[in-house]
Amino acid sequence: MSMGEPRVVVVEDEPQIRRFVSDAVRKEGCIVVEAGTARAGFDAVAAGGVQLVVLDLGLPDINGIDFIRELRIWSGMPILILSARAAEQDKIAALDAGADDYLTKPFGVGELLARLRVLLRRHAQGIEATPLHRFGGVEVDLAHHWVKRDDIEVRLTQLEFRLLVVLLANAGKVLTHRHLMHQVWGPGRAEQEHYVRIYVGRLRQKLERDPTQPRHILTETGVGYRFQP
Amino acid sequence: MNTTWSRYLLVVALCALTTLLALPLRGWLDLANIVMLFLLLVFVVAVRLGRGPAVLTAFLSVIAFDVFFVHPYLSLGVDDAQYLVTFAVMLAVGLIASHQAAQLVARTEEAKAREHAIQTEKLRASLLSSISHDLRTPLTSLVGMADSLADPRAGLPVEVGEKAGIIRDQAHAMHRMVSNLLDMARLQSGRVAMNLQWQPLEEIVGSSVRLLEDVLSARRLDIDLPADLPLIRFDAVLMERVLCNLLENAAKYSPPDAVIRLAARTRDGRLEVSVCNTGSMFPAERPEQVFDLFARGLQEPAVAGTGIGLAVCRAIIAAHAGTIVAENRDQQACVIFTLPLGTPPSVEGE
Repeated sequence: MSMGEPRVVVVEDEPQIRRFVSDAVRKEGCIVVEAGTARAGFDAVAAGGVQLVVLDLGLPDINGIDFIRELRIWSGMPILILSARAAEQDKIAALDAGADDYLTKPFGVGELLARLRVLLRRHAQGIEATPLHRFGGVEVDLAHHWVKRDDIEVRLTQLEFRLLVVLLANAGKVLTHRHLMHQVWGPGRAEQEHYVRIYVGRLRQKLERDPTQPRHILTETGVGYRFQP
Repeated sequence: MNTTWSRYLLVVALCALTTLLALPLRGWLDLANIVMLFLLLVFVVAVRLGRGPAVLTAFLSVIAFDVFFVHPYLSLGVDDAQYLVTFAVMLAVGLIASHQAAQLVARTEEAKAREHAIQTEKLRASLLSSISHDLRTPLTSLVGMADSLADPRAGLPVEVGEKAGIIRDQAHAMHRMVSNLLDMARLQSGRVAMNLQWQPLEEIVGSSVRLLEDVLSARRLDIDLPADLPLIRFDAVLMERVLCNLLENAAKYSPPDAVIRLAARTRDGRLEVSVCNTGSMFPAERPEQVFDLFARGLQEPAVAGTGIGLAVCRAIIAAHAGTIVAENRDQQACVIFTLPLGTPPSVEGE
């Protein structure tokens, strides 16, 4: 397994979709293993040396959620879901089961590759966590608890900072409202998801150039949020 | 009416038949058991023919029992006064049984109707989701493949790449249309499960603009959202569709240099959101017509085809107890919708 050429398994039962997804991932410099069924996909992943799975949620043979759960028993490799719109509950279930991100059909190649790159990079970094983060004119030093935007210090409250930490630590990953609530405010407050929405709004006010058109703290409608560096 | 009368006649015949069958048993069976036979008849009639015939059966049974089985025979009189109690109990049991049985039948029929409705709804839902899948699959391939060709790295001549880009954008537009049609079908079935959450409007403004990037990127977009807007309770996915439809329409029916404005404010206990564009207008007469499904017969060709998108907006806004109007103001075509403000949940400070 060479680190230069990540191995990606594409599990999708529709041959034309599988084809363009695989072509695009291949052009990105990855080795692609194509699978038309969940069973074949699972075998391809179990063969080892795989860095990422692109998984269609609507496979005919095995429920996509079960596929993710099975895989998560022994691997933390990134899982990128392909899913239909108007299936928010399925997406949340997939994310809760351990998927990292999803693309809603139809999607462009650019979007697919952007998601893929972020997930591969985060996976490759592994435990080499860095306290320094930079995005869109914002600098964050998690070790010394400061945040600057355009070289001017930004004051964040404790909760705002904690929310930012969770978002940064999960770059490229979709985080559900419930997950963020649990991570930042602690357990037992599932009824108060509006806190997450309000605090995300405050972070955007302080960190995004245009809070109404955020570039980094993105809303995944009906599901949660995704931090895009 | 005929069937009603025939049911009552049938009841009379059944009472006569029961009496005839029971007569030979008069010496053999205890009178209590004869009463049972009549009560059985009342019950069967109640289940089969309904309450009215059952009540008649109960009365006829008491009379028949009195006349043919209680001394003196062939007379309404009774020797032993205790039979009056038997008559009373028999009548009471007959009436109660007929009432209960009739109710049981009604409930069973109701349950059957409900079951049928559920089955129809399930069928409709699964049909919708399979249509949705079947339409989306080729569109996903189209968008993906056209996008692959449009990529400059594909090494195709610029002109070919541009055309591929147009195919991609058109496939996206077609997908939005398909989504609108499917949403409309879902909304019209009246069984859309709404996921109502308290949330800032800002979120779906951002996500809508991002979804419409290929349509809006070349346009002048002016967003005016006060920072202190309260949380509003709505279904984010549906409301995102409203904003997307309004923004897409504003872009589609105005010249490329027109300004598209999205603004929100609170007014009279409601949130008011407006999406306006310069450079084109709604038909001056009856602008509300644009919300009709597949609006036809409009004088101005510039607004033909807005039917489905705005009809979906109206259905979604109505499901949120809101209002939506189209009007021309200050040389702009505007769609303005309102949502009730309600009482947002409290937020503790840190």
